[in-house]
This record gives sequence, structure tokens and C-alpha cells, in this order.
Amino acid sequence: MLSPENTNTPNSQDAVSDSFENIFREERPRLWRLIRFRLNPGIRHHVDTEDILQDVFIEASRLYADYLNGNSLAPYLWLRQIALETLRDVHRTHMGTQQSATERESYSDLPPTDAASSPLVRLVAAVTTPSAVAIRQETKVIVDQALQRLNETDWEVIQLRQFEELTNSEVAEVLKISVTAASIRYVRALERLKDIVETLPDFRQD
Amino acid sequence: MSRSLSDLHELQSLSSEERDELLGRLAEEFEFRIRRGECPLVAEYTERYPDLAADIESVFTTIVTLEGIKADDARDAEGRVSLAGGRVDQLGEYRVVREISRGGMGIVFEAEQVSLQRRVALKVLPRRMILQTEERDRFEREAQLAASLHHSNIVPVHGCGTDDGYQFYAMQLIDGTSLNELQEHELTSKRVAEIGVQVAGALHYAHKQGVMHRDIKPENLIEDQNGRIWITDFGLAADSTSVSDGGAGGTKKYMAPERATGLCKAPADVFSLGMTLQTLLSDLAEDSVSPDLTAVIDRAIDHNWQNRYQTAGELAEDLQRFLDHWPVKARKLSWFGRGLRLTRRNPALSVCLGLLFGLAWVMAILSHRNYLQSEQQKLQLFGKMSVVDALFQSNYPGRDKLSQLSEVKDSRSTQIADPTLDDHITMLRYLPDTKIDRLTDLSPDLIRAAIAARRDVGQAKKHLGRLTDARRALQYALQATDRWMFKCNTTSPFSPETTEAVLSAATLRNDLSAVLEEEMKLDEAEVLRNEALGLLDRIPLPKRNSTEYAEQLAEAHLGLGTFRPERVGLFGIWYQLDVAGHDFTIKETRETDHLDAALNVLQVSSLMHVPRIKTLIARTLVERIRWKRMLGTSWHHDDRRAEELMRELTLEFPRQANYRYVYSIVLANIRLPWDPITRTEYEIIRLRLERSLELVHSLTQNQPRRTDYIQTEVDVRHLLAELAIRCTVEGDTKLDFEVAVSMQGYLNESMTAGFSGHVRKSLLEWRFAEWLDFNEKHDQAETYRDYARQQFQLISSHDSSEPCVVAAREIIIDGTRTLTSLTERVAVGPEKTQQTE
Repeated sequence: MLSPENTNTPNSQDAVSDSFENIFREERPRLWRLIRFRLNPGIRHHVDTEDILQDVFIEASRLYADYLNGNSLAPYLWLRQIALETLRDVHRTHMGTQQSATERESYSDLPPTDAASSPLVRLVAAVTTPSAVAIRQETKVIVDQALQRLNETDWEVIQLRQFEELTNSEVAEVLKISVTAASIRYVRALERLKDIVETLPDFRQD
Repeated sequence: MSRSLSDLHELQSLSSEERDELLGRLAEEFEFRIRRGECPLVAEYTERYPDLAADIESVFTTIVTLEGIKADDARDAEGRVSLAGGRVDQLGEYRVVREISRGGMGIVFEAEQVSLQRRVALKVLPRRMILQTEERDRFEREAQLAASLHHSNIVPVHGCGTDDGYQFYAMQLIDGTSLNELQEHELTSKRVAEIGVQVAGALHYAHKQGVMHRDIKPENLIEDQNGRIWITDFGLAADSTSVSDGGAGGTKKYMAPERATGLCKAPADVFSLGMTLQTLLSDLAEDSVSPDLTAVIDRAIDHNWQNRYQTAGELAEDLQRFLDHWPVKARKLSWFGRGLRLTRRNPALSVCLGLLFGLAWVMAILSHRNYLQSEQQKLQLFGKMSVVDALFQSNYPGRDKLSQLSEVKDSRSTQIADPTLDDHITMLRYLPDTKIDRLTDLSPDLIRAAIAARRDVGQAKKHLGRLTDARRALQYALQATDRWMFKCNTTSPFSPETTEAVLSAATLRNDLSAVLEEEMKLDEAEVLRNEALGLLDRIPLPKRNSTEYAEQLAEAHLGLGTFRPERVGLFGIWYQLDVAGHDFTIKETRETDHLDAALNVLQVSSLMHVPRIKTLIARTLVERIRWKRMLGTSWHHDDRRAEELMRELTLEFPRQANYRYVYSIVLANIRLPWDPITRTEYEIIRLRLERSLELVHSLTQNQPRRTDYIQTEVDVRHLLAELAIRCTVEGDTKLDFEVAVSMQGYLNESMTAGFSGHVRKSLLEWRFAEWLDFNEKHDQAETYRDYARQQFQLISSHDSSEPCVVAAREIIIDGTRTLTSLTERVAVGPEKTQQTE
């Protein structure tokens, strides 16, 4: 009854949008994390992570056909670019400046507390399983302070690997370095992070 | 030479590169496994690459820390979970309709079960909420068990599953309100008991099926339109640590103390239900709550699980008895108490019972080698020690003694000591004393039990004022602990058991010091306190994370920093009165350093929510305030903090005797000035002291044998009397003096404190005599002066050179020193007072 054109065209479109939605659904948590951590704390009251994610979704679905036609980026990295651009726009609108969304910001928006002793030393020393990591605010504050003191290269790689949860090869692709170099860079950054934590004034050995 | 050096250098730089590359690969794998929801062990990797162990540990622990932070960051400001950008529309066969609520563990959605076309409540746990595989298995196992429960008060679980990385379970959708939202409802004692009966009945049913709830609290109890209570989230709480850490408020409050040790049996759920009922009752006016119901709840929330109702069924039954106006069992005496009551009427029977006890123990001792096969059986021997705890329960016979005492107005009758108590203590003597030596060679469990038993006996006797017995018991426990510590230390110096033994050795030194300090053996106590500090210093850094460690370290410092007016010749609160013409001004002191150290240990935010720690902080502040007054520095901030801490604690745990005790001490920690004070100042001091008296009096009423409580009541009454004298205000001065004198007399007769009690009592009588003189009652005054002199003669010549004995002799016997005259009073009012000299 129906002509082949009539049945095929919507089907293939469905397939395209279907696969887009699948990709987006798959990458949604990582994108959420990216936006949450890179959104300037000063405007978190005005815009919600979920709203920005919605904008990213609309923009990405508009560009998806182009992406399929000519982009060699991995899907997440492509979505990530769109998310970063969307964030940049959001910051521009709300802050009236050209502030880059990638500008280094406090990872934690919790007010610093006076950490009387160092939970991290205990954690780092005693922890053997992830669940044994007591989720404590001081740890957060201390790690945040240490992150602020890292140099740009180290900070970036930790940001990508940890807070955006990119895989090593994705990091290599973003930074345009070899997989081995990315891996080594990450390990050294972690070691430096730990060294910095240990020199922080809050970190006491007794 | 230079060549080999450069080779070496090349090799090193190469291997460092290789090392980092390998580390990088391992780190990626490790991270991947965590994110997938596994729980990889760092040790897995260090064992595989022992050469890299240090690097692996350093890198991996940093990763674990970062991962831990992220998991936490997905919560909102109130600690409620979010799905961290994840979104659920469909999980398994459930289509999500709308979000109902969020908690610390999961998000509850209304959903449609597509296959059956029915509405359900779907609880979804965020990804990574459960990080350990064993935990996950347990979650699934328990959800299945919970699904097998069919009870009219348990929300039926339809099933559980995993989809898209989320754990979820589906249950019946109940149209109702959870009990934490019921506040505006008019609750009554009766209604609370009815709720308790329903919940306890359902718990009993579930326990019989082998399912624990683990997280009973008002949020998990739903009242439907018909007044029926539904228990939700059966058996689905994660283990204690994750619940308490991630808690959206207060779960810990409902958690039985033994859960901390991993023990979770029926009495743990009984405890949580008891706390829940208590929370519900806390909104009611205190006098509208029946003492019977209070007794039932008190038994349900006893700190020691062995003293609680052993099954939820027993709790349900006792609550029902309350509803039916039958006497509740919680108020009846234990068999032991009943035995004591019998022996009081019939001394001959007492001997028989004593013999029976002794015989039973002898038999147990003789036969234990071949008879007691398992450790558990052996431990049951020590389970009997819980009778010690029974001594201090409010239902212990003789609680009315003190109320009789406070009615005594003119007589000096102090025949208070209860002879049956001695029987009890004699019976206790049959317990492990004779056995500890042989038993300590067995197993750590048994050693722990033996030490704990002795320690309990020691503490019990200390509270009863039997200081010599307490010292002996604690010394015994200390010897056993030191042997244990020595043994551990030689076999495996770095094992957790060694750490435990060292901590235990420090703890007992603190306990023993506290007794010695009461006995005024201050130098011996100081040595032990310093030893305790030395021992605690031996505990390796990573093991210092426990509350117990912080507690003991602070106790040792607190002991060393305690303000001791006795050293300069005045007892207890006498320095607060400023009456002996002493010039106490000092310039500096080492003691405050100890107090600062104690506060440093305690004021760590991870500890500060622990009630025991708060109490310890308040006690430390009390001492620091005393020193600061001597040093002339500002102490008001400390005073406010201590008051605030204890006020909050007593509000939160209105039935905890120790918090009320410490609060009463905090309130009584004032110094009566000789300078004129205004009416407002007078009122403030009076209100504080009266509140303090009210608190401590309720304690002495309930536990008339606790000498520490009684001593505090004596002190507070003396302060009140003194305040009235100074401010020329008509108060209950005479009554306060009389009760104080007669209570001090009771203390001296029941305590083995030695000279200190005699000094206190004779000075108190002397002061009372002065007041009587001032009020023209010279005959009575002379009588009390005689009492004071007689009392003073009781002090052994051995103690005659103690500073406070010397001071008391100068006042009472020699007349070379006088207490500040009563005529030097301070009139209340803004105007300056006339001081007659």
C-alpha cells in the first residue's frame, strides 16, 4: 500500500535520531559532570546544570547530521566541544565577559572549613577500598586547595581524566599527544598532587 | 668510570619512564574498574608489582580519594542523592512516571509496571552508591528475602533489578505520610505505643524469616489513611558506614551502638524502634508520658544490647501490656534483682544464694577445660557480667533511698548504705577474678571479654565510691592488658590486635588514674596519665583514626590538665566560694597546655558530632575555665560553648544520665564573687545553680548509689546556700546545708575515699555552724561545731600533712585561720555594698 519512499525515509531518520539519542543518553552523565564542574559558581544560582545540558542536546541534535558526514572525532569528544561552546555562551551572557569556560575554577563550591587535622593523610595512608573512603568535606577542601596549586598542564590532565572521566586515549586525542605520553603525564600529575597535599598547612603529620 | 655512571643514569631515566608508563596503564585499569562499580583492592596491584608498591600506593590512593569526592559531590546541599546527570525513564519493566522523594540512599519514583499495568513505588540507587561487590550481592539477596515477606505492616516488595548501572527495587505504592512528617499530628502516649506494637510485631515476623530491617526510623514508617503503619525499605539499607556517612540527617541517632562492631541482630532493630518511639514521644509534654512507657522504651534503647528486649516480639508484648494497663515487664526486677529483694528480707537465704553462686562458679571453673568447647560458650561465662549494669538501672531496688534522705531535715540519720549491695559485690567477686589468669592464655576474644569484665567491675565500684575495690579491679585488668600487649608486641608488632591492645592499655591507665585522683593519689595518677600518652604515641599514624583513640588521648590530657585546688589546700568547690582568704592568683601553668592539647584532639569535625566527644569537650572546657579564672584571662567564651554543647545534648538525649550529669557540672562551674553584684547577675547565678541542682537531683533520685552524682549535689547545694548568704536573700539555706551535710555523711560512710571526705564534711559543718550563729541559733551552732571537730579527728595521722588537712586544722582546731566572715555580705542591687570589716 505504501510506497517504499514513504516507509523508508522516516525509518532512516528514526534510525539517525535514535542513534543520536542513544549516544547522548550514554554520554549524559559525563557531560553533566563536565558542565557542573566548569560552570562558574557565581552563576550556578541563575542557570541549572540540567538546563545547559538541554541546550547542548538541542544544539548537538541540530549538528548531528554534519558530524556523521565529516567529523572524525569520537562521539563524546564531539559532544564535549559543543558543551564547552554552550558553556562559553552561558558565561558570556551571565557574566558579561569573555571568561573562558575552561578557566580554572574552584572544583568545590563548598565553603572552606577549618580542617583541624588532615583527613587526607589518614585516607591516603589507610584506605584500601573505595568504599573505605569516608566522604568528608575536609578532604574536598584540601584536595581543592591542592588542585589550585597545580601547574596548568597537571591540572588539565587531572581535570580531564578525573572530573570529566575521559579515558586515556580520549585525553590523548584532546591534548593531541601520544597515548603513552598522556598516561605518563597523568601519573606524574597525580604524584605531584599528592606531594602538594602533603605540604599544605592543613596537612599535619601528628 | 664516567661511562658507567652515564649508563646508570640512562638506565634510571629509562626505567622511570617505563615505570610511569606501567603505572599509567595500571591506573587506567584501576579507575575503569571503580567506575564500572567494582571494588578493586590496592593490595591486588602492589602484590602483583612489589617493586612498584610505594608508587602504586601513592597514585592509587590519590585516585581513590578523588573518586570518593566525586561520589559525594553528586549529592545536593541537604545530603540527598542525585542521579548525577543520569536520567531514568524506564528501568527493566518499570516506566517512571514522576519523582516522589529523595533521601540519602536513593530516589523514589512513582512508576508503572508495564506487564501488570499497576502503579508501584520504585526506589533507585544512584550509580556507584554501592561500591563493593559483596555489598551489592547482599543488596540483591536481601531484596529477594524482603520480597518474601508477607505481613500487613510491611510494604510488599515486588522485585528488584539492575538496569543501566542503576540498582532499583519496586514496592507497593502506599498512600500515606511518613512519621517524620507527622509533627503537627496530635500524638499521644497511647498512639505511640500502638505504633510501636504494629511495628514491633512486623519486625518480629521478619526476624523470624531471617530478615533484619537495619534502618528503622520515622522516615521509613508510613501511616496510611486508615491509621495503619507500614514499614518500608526492609533490609535494604546499605551497611552501617555508608548509611551514617551519607545520611540525609540523623540516621545514626537510630542506630544501635553495637552496629559499630558489625553486630546486627534483632536487638539492633529493637533499639532503632525504641529510638523512633522516643523521638515521637519527645514532642509530647513530659508529664503526659507514662513512666511505664518510658520504662519500656528505656529498656528497648539500653546501650548494652544484652539488656534490651531480645526479640521485637517481647517489645510488642510489653507495649501491649502498657496499652492494656498491665504492669510492664521493663519495670519489674530482673531475676537477680528479685533475688536481692528476697535476700534483703531473709539474710539466711542470702548466704544460700551466695553459696549457690560460688558453687556454680567453682563448677564452671573445674569443668571449663573439657566442657567449654567453643569460644562462644566461654564467652557466655562473661555474659553474666551484665548484672553489673543492672546495678545502675533505675529499676534497681533502693532508688527511693535518697528521696528519703532529702526529707530528713533535723536528724543526722545517715544509715543509708544498703547491706544487700555488699552481697552483690561479694557475688561479683566470684566472677572472673580467679579465672582471668588462666583464661588470658586462650584467645583474643576471651582476653577482651575478661578485661572488659574487670573494667566494668572497676567502673561500677568506682561509681559506688568503693575506690579501693575499684583500684584493685582496674589494676587486675591493667596487668592482664599489659600481658596481652606484650604478647602481641613480640609476635606481631604491627598487627591490628597489637594496636587494640595498646589502646586498651592506655584506656585502663586512664581509668585507673581517675580512681587514684579521687583517692588523692595525684602523683601516682600523673605517672599513669603520662604512660597513657606514651602508649598512645606508639599507635601507628593510620590507626589513629578512631573515636576511641581521640577519646583516650583527650582523657589523658584532661587528667593532666585538671584544676586541683586540693594541691593548695582547698577541696572541690571550696575554691569557688572564695572563703578561705587564699590568694590563688597565678601567672602561668603547664596544665592549660594539656587542656589545649585535649581540645585540639577533640575538635576535629569528623569527631565533633559524636555525643561522647561533645561531653569530653565540655568537661575539658570546664577545667580550662577554672584555670582561666585563676590566670585572670577571659573565660566567658568557653563557658558559653560548654553550656551550649551540653544543653543541646541533653535536649537530644533527654534520658542519658551522663549528659545531664556533665551539664549540671557545667552549670555549677561558677565562682561566687565577694564583689557587689546586680540583681540580674544574682538571678543569672541563681537560675544556673537551680537548673544544675534540678539535673543532678533527678540523677541521685534514680541512681542513689552513684557517689559522683551525690558529691555534685552536695556541691551545688552548698553553692546555693552560700549564694543566699552573700546576697542576703532568703533562700532554702538551712535545708540546703542540712541536706548537703547529711549527703556528705552518707558519702563518707559508703566511700573509701579517705581523708578528703572528712575534710569536706567537717568544713561544711563548720560553715553551717557559722551561719547558725549568725542567725542567733547558738546551741545548734555549737552542736555542728562539735560535729565538725569529731569529723576532723577521724582523719588518720598519716594524712596530716596534706595541704587541705593542714588548712582545715587551722580553721577547725587551731582557730588560726577563719573562713571569710558571714558579715561580709554582698547586698544585691546596683548600689555598692557596705563591707563591715
